[in-house]
Amino acid sequence: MGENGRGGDRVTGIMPEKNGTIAWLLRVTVALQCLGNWRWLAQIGESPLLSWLLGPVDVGGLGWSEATALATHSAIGWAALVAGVCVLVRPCFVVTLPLVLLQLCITIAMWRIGYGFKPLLVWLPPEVGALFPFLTQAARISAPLGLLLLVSWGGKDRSGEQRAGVATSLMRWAIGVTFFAHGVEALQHHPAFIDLLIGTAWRLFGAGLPQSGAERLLTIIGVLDVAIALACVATKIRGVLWWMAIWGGITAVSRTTAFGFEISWHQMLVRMPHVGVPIVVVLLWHLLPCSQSARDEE
Amino acid sequence: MSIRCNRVLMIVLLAVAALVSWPIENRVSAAEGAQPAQWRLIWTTDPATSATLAWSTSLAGKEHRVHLRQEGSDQVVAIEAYRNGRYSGKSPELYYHYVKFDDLQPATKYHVEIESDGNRSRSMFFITAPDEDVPFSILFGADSRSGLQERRKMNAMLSNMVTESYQGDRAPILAFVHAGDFIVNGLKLDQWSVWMSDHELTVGDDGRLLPIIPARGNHDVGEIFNEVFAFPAKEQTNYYAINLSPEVRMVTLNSETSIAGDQTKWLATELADSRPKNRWLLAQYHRPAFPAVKRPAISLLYWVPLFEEYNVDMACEGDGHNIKRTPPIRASKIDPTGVTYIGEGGLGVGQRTPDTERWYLRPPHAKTGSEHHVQLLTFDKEKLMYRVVLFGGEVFDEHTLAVRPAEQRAAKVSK
Repeated sequence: MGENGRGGDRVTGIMPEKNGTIAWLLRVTVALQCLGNWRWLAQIGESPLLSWLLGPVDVGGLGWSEATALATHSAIGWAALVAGVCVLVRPCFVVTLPLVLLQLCITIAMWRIGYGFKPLLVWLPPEVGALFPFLTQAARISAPLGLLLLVSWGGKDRSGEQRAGVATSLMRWAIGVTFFAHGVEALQHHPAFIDLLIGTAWRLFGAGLPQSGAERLLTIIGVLDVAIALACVATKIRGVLWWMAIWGGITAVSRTTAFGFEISWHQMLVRMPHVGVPIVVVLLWHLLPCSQSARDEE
Repeated sequence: MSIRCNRVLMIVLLAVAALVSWPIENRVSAAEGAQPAQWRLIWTTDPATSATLAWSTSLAGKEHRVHLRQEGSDQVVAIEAYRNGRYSGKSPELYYHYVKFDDLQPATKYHVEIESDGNRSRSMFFITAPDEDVPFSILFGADSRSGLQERRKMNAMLSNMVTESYQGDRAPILAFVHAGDFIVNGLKLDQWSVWMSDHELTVGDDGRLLPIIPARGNHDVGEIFNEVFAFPAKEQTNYYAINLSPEVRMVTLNSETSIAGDQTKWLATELADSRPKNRWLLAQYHRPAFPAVKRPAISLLYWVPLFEEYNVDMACEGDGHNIKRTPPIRASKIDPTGVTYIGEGGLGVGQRTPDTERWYLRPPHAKTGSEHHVQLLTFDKEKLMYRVVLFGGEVFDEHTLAVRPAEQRAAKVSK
């Protein structure tokens, strides 16, 4: 399905000689995300997806038996690993679509079982607040979705270029929404974020960061995240997206610096879209006009 | 190709839309008008001399009080509610009321009648904690968030156990320690309302109230937890320690707020202060440090070293939905001087299968299981008797901890 039958090493709709980097960046991002998902689902064996499968129907779960849920959960993890390898070899439609669905299912699971942070705003109905995972997970969904639209779909006609435009907008909004959500979590002093800062300060610098200091830092981080998120969707300043990629990388790595590499490297990998997606958007911004002008010259 | 892909995407979108619109069942309990209902006797301060009685009404009402009478006295004291308000959450319309009892006499029976706008509850009673070093028991459990039929059955069993414990020479059950996950979604008042109504089943036929010592679980997010258990508004900490007798101290921790920050500092101070003063020192919290199913919470990094440093006797955990008793653990090894971890929640929620391949869960040193249960802890001067009680009263596990030598209780262990 890839363009020119070459296994999708190029982005559709964009000048072929300039887009290999984007395709590979997305492929590596999604492959690392798959590796993290494999570790999470098949090795660690605990995720919101499992809780959803196991949970009773009357409280939002699917009510599966433990044996069936565990087997399915593990199988999905291994399938994610295989898909990750396939993404590097040949990122065709039948590989990338299930990865999109996997990220969607994890997000739906988080919503259904009430997993993760919930914004505590008096005016926000709990039913709406429960949808918060769709914001925090948007970037993780957008990586395989972007790969699907840009690489797997194939075709180098005008529709391919339109699809590239749609994918760019989609990934740009997804990373913006995720940054916004993380900004809200930081502003509300999400306890897990406090512990990330304290743990990182302790492990990296041997310094005891007081909780009040961590909370002040989170307020600054939250304001920055929200401002950056707004700038991402309202402007086309490339520096904003480079900042997102760098900060996304730092926050992904912070899981390992706070709690140790061995027990949390998968948490870093599942967050690779926070690094890869903004870089891909920047490169697409750079290449899409080139493609347009080249077409105009033809 | 393009048409086929569009069809696939359309099917995917329809499936997602169907999932998103799939409702979670709502269950609303009945508190009617200004009739008092959903009473909870809460112990978060010195239980020998104080207690908080909380209840709900469906109407805001104007006058809320409790009529208190000490056993053996004819004098009835009317104590006005110190705080009234509407629970967070739109549905159902429900109001909370709290009365705080102070200056109570230890080991004393108090009769109470709740009154809201002239509507009175039935007569109930509670007994304060002793100020003498006498044998007694507590119930420990967690995870009553789902499996509502089982939850109700369990609450009825707890009530019977408490009544029976006061017969003969048994060590009476003083309180119910709950390590969290009361409901599925802490932001939904309808779920809390059902839990509060179900909690009434812990009250004995004779009107005996079972005091509850609550810890916050990962599902108990939001302000309603504070409102149900009479914590101050906007309280985020929810960690505290109380003496159940002069020689038994229970430290309640909150695994859902920052673990590494102020809470760990507080814990270090609390354990340093309380270890030399108490024969038995226990902690309860939701997410396990030595889980039987899940992965360890970061309390393993921050709290466990303190438990070991100050020779905590037993840590009571929830969240894993199984029965667990580890051997005593110190420095990630089995050590007779270490800390015993029990758990992990079976007050209603469906049970998981423990991973007995984990080093701290291998028999014969450990005992695990997968049935609905409550754990009964009985304290005396020589030992702490631990029992796991299943539906029907069957004892699944029984284990005894000998009291620590005085030198272990007197000083902290050097790192």
